[in-house]
Amino acid sequence: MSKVNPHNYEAFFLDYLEGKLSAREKAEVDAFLEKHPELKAELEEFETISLDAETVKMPKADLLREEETGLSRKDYLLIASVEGTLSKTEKTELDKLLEVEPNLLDELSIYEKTKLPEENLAFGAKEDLKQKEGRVIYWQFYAASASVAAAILALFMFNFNSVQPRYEFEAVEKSNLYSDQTPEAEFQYVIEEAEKQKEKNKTNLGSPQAAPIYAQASKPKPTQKQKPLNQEEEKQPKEMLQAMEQEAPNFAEEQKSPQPMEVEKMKLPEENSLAALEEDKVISNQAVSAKEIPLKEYATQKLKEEVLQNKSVSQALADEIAALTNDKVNFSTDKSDKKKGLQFAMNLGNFSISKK
Amino acid sequence: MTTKEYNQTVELYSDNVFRFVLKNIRNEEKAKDIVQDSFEKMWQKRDSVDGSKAKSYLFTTAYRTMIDKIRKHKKQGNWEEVNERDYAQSAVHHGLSEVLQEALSRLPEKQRSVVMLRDYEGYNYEEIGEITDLSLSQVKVYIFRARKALKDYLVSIEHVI
Repeated sequence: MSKVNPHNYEAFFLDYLEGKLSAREKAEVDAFLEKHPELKAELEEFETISLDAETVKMPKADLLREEETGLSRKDYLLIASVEGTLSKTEKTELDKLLEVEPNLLDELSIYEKTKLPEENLAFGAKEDLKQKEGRVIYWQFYAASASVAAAILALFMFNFNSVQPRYEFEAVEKSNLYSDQTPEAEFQYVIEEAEKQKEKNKTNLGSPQAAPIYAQASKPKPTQKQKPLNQEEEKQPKEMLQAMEQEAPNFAEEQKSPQPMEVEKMKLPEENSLAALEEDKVISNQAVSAKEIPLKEYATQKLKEEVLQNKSVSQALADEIAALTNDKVNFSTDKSDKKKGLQFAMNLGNFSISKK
Repeated sequence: MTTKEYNQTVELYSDNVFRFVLKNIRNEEKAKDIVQDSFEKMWQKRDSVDGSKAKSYLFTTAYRTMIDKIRKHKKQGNWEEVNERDYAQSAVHHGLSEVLQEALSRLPEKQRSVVMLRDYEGYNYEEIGEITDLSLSQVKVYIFRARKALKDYLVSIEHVI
C-alpha cells in the first residue's frame, strides 16, 4: 500500500478502524492526522457508521408465508386486522410486529382504504319489477296472451259460422249476409230476428194461411256459403222439429201470458221423449206453426246455455281468456254509432286491442 | 314468500343487486337484464323462497345468472374486452374512490365478487360461500388476495395516494 496522503486517506481510515493496518501503516496514519487535524472529525464519523449487528434483523414476517392464503405473514396479519378476523394469538403477534416495525402502521392504513366505500347506484326500473296484481307479466307473456286471445276470438268466430247452418232458421241464414260482422253482432241479429218473428206469430196465430217457417226449415235451400251437412247434421232439423212438437202446449200457455223470463225456464226435450214423439207422428200444421217461435227461442236458449253459459258473448269471451291467462280481461262493445259500425275494445292485463 | 315480501325485496335490494352486477360486468343494459332475470326467477320460485332469506336468494341467483351470461358472451365474442374499452378510465385519477374502483375493475371476477359482497353487502364468509358456491377457505383466500392486490394498486408508483 502506498503512503497515506490527502487523496487516499479514506481507505486508510477504514482499514485503521477495522484494524487491518500494520503497525507501521497505523503510525503513518497517526502522523498524517497530526499534519491534518481537520480530518480527525472525518475519522470519527467513520467510526459512528460502523454497523450494529442487532439492528440488521431481517423481518421474518415478510418472509414467512401464511399457509391458507399463501400471502406473507405480515400481509396476512394486516389484512386479517382490516377484516376483523384476527385471533387472540394473531393479534398479539401483530402488536409485536408493529412495535418492531412501526412503519407497518402506514401499510395498515392503506389496507383500511381497500374497503370499498358505500356507493349508491339506483336501479331505474324498480317499479317494473313490482307486482301490481300479484303477478309479473313480461313481454313474452303478453305475446302469449295476445296469441291466446286471438285464437279464442277466431274460435268463437268459427263456432258461430258452423252453428248457423245447423239451426237452419231464417234469422241465422240472414245473418250470413253479415258474416263480416263480429260474432256478437251476428248473435244480436239472431236475437232481434227471433223477437220480430215472435211478434209476427202472435198476430198470425191460429191462421191457417200463415206460411209456417217450419216449412222453410224442413226444405233448406243451401246458400252459396253453406256446406253440405253430414249425416249427423242432417238429423238436426228433424230433432228440432220434434223438440218443437213437445214445446207446442207450452207455447199455447205462453201466448196467454207472455213473459220473456219463461223462455229461460224452458227445459230441453230429452232423447227418450223425442223418440216417443217420433213414434206418434201426430203433427198438425197448426201445431207446427205454433212451434216456430219456441224453435228460435230453443236455439237461442241452447246457444246461451251451452255455448255462452247464460252470459253475453263478450263476457263469455272475456271469461274464457281470463281462465286461460289468469289475468283480468275486459271486453266491451259499442254499437251506438251505427254509421261507424261496431266498436269494441279488449283489455288483457296491460295489453289491449280495440276497433273504432 | 308473499307478494308483499317480494315487493319489499324489490324496494330494498334491487339497487344493491344492480350495483353488484354492474360493477362486475360494467355494462348497464346487460346489468339491468340480469337484475330483471333474477327477480323474475325469484318470483317464479316464490313459493319455495323464505322471505327472510330473499336477499341471499336474490344475490345467489344474480351471481349465477351473471356468470352464465359472462361465459356465454365470452364464447360468442369478447364481452369483457369490449366493456374494458367502454369503461376504460384515463390514467389521471382524482381521488381514492376512483383509483379504488379502477383497482376493483382489474381484479379477477371471483375476487371482485367476494370483495363486493363483503364490503357493499356486509356478508360474512359463510354467506358469501353460499352465494358464490365457494368453500369458506376459498372465500377467505379470494378476499385476502383481493385486498393485497387492491393495496398494491393503491401504492403503485402511478397511483400513490
